[in-house]
Amino acid sequence: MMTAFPVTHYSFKPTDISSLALWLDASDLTTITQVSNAVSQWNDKSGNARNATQSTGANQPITGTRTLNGRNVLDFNGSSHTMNYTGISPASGLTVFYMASHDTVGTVQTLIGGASGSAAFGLVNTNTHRIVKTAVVQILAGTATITGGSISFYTATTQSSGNKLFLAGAADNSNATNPSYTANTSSVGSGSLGTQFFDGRVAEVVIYTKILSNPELNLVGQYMAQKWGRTWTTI
Amino acid sequence: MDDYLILEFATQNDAQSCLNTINSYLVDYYQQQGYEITNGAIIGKNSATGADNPQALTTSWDTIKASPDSTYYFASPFPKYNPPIQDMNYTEKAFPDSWQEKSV
Repeated sequence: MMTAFPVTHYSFKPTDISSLALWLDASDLTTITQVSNAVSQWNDKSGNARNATQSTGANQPITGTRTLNGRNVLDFNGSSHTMNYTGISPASGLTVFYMASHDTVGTVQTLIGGASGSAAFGLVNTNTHRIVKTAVVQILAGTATITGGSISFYTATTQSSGNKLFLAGAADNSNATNPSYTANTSSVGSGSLGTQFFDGRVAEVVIYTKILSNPELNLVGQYMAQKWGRTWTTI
Repeated sequence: MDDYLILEFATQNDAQSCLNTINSYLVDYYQQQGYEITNGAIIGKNSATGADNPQALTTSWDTIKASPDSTYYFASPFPKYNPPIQDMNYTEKAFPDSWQEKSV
């Protein structure tokens, strides 16, 4: 005799893993506040209220004009668009995921950044991804070359014992450098001092204040891949 | 990368006067579009519901920056907006690459 069990559909969310510090999701229009498509606030879904804000009109990214996999994204212009949120301490290590696409390459572009000494993540002018100690030193550069218009589905881990970059789950590069960050990560769309602006679409950013285990990396990666129509190589 | 046009001014006073005019124009413009205004700032609307979010304010078109050439500048509002500043003392130009701050 067979017993019928209720079918439960488990839908993973980044909040299902502890130490989530920031979750920005451009596909969730309830999190976006705008004036004629110019975004003044992008709410954090992590539960930490690290809402990204920008009160200066010329610096506000654009919503409602571009998509990825049929979902809304924010468009950053590579010259002035940037948003700030309450800083995230790198003390216990950071794991950063982002789904984005570069309209142009060949310049230094920071997607996640902060003040001098903070951890920052983005593109170097030789067209690979990188982790940098803002305005101080490059910590780790990837090996996979990024082209204009291509999707950047990146994961980075950085802590005192070393750093790793993954492209859609595939290992891109790693080292054992201690970055010794001295400031908190606090911006999306540019680096320190309003420089190194990101040019392209930003779909989703997820940051944890710990180094995720491989199973945890795969959970978040598979969630983002499915959502944005990408593939994820299991770590 | 989008073209980044700026308005360049010889003095900070000229830049501030022009920015004040642009800000007043934008407040009037968006008030006519149905946006609420508080203390000279434009209240944003939620993208999903259209509800006002009084925490999300647009307070100014831009901020005035000093250039390496000892001039002052901010982002051009043209062609997105057409504020009444045509007679003011500025030069509209592309943001010079040489002004970009270099850092790691």
